[in-house]
Amino acid sequence: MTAIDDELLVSALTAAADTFAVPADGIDEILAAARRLEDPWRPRRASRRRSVAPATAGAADHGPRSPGPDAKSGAQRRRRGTGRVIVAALVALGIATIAFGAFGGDSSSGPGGTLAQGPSPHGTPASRARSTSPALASPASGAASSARPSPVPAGSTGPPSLPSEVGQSSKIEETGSLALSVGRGRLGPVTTRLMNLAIGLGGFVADTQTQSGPAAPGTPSYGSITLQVPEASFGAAVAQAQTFGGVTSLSTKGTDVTGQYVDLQARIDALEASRTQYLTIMTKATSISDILAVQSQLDDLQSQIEQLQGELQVLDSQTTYGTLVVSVSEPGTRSAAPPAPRSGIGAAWHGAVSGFAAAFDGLVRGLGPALFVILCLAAVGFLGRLGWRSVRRHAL
Amino acid sequence: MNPAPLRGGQRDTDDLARWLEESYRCSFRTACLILGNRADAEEAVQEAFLRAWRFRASLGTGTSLKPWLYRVVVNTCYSKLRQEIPHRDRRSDAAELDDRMAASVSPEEEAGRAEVARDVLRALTALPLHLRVPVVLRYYAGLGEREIAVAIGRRPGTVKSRLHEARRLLAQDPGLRILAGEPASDGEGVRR
Repeated sequence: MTAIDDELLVSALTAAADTFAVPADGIDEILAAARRLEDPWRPRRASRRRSVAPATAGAADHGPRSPGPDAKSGAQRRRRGTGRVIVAALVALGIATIAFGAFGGDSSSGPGGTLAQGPSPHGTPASRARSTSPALASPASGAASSARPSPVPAGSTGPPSLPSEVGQSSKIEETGSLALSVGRGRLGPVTTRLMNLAIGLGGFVADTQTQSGPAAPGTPSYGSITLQVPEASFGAAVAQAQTFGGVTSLSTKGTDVTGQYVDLQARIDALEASRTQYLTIMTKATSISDILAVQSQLDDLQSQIEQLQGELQVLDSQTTYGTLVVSVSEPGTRSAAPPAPRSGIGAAWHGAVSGFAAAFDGLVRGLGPALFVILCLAAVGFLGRLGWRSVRRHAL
Repeated sequence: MNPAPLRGGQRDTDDLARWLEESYRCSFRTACLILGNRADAEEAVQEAFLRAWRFRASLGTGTSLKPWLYRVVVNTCYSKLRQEIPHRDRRSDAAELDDRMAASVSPEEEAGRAEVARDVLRALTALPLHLRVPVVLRYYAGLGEREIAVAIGRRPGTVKSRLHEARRLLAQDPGLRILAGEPASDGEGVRR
């Protein structure tokens, strides 16, 4: 590669630059523009060339000017810059709205979760679910969550009742899950209080599961208790249970099963009508074969009726009692951690699977906030770059 | 070029006039070499001086005026290249060069000098902008590496490497090789 001499470059560039004739009135034009900046009301001297003074004068130059090409291009540039800033701000706002909406829309979210789907006053949706953050969780809200839609009393101006089947009161299945964080050693007392709460409200405890540290005292403990409380007291139960510890997550759900209930009842009524007819036929049967044939049909009908009645009872129980699953954990406890095998290949395999699941879970959980942060940083960077370029353009 | 510093905050244009007398010619030709277009350079320099004069108060007492002024000029040239010139219907560089030479070179000038200038301008226009600006500031405006670093907002090491790269590319230009007294057939053309 051949090196080129500095002196040669200096002389060559000087020779090339000398070919550009310096404008004779360039200095005068700049001075005139500067004077207009000083005195914006001074009449502008006619210029045969495009002058950049109006574009650079900015807000300081309010003097009379003709809308020449430069003025137009300057205004267009300003409009472009303003438009970019507005678009960037809208993009940032949209990203923030989407992100916050995504975070708040998780019905099973922990702290920070918001109303996932508001309860429909008309009960048109078959189910309604809400998730409440600790800050929002209050006895009032808990009570409100249990206020199932009911037929409007006479003279009431409230919303109309559920559009359930005619003659059938609404059947709402209430379920909820509540995660409480209690102090160390408070798992037992809180569990007892939850049991007393269910019994005091006329309900019962359907399931209890506790896990305490096997070795040293003070090992984090975890417990889960399933309460069945009368549907009318479900809201009160949720509200009182929240006072037993720190609420880390709360989710309640109400499902309208009126249609399913009415359908079961109608099928049972039809089967019972058929059974009545078969019983009538039975009384008129004279031969053994006829009696056996009718009896077979009656047995079949009876089996179907009992099956449907069982389903109806379950449904009735579900709508009579609301189910509230309360998870109680002491500090440092990972909720509902399954007991791992103690040793051997099974323990290793279980540990590997658990580790993989935990890592994947953490990755998925971390991706959302990370994506949000990246988008916010990108928006801020874009705005900052626009601002910086604007400042530089106006400062220099 | 050693322009007298402006008095910050003073609202008369006497200082600006003195400043222009000392710096306008060199700034204008620097812009011409960077932009490769006389009209754009005239606008850019006009805008640069007005900007610098408007914001003369931001020039601290300890700040050297020369690189600061060239920074304004370079930034204005960048703005011209980024915002306005791409939107214009421009002809090829060769046609621009021919027209510029026809318009600016007087018939009395020697034919050899015009040929040298044409080759230099063609080689300079072929350089990437980030290499062209340091070359012009170094070998025409006479700025040092530190002053160029201030003018283009980069570190002196970056300026040094860019100058080295620019010299390497310019050394491959056939016109400049002939100017340096070397055969033009060995080297490749300036990478575009």
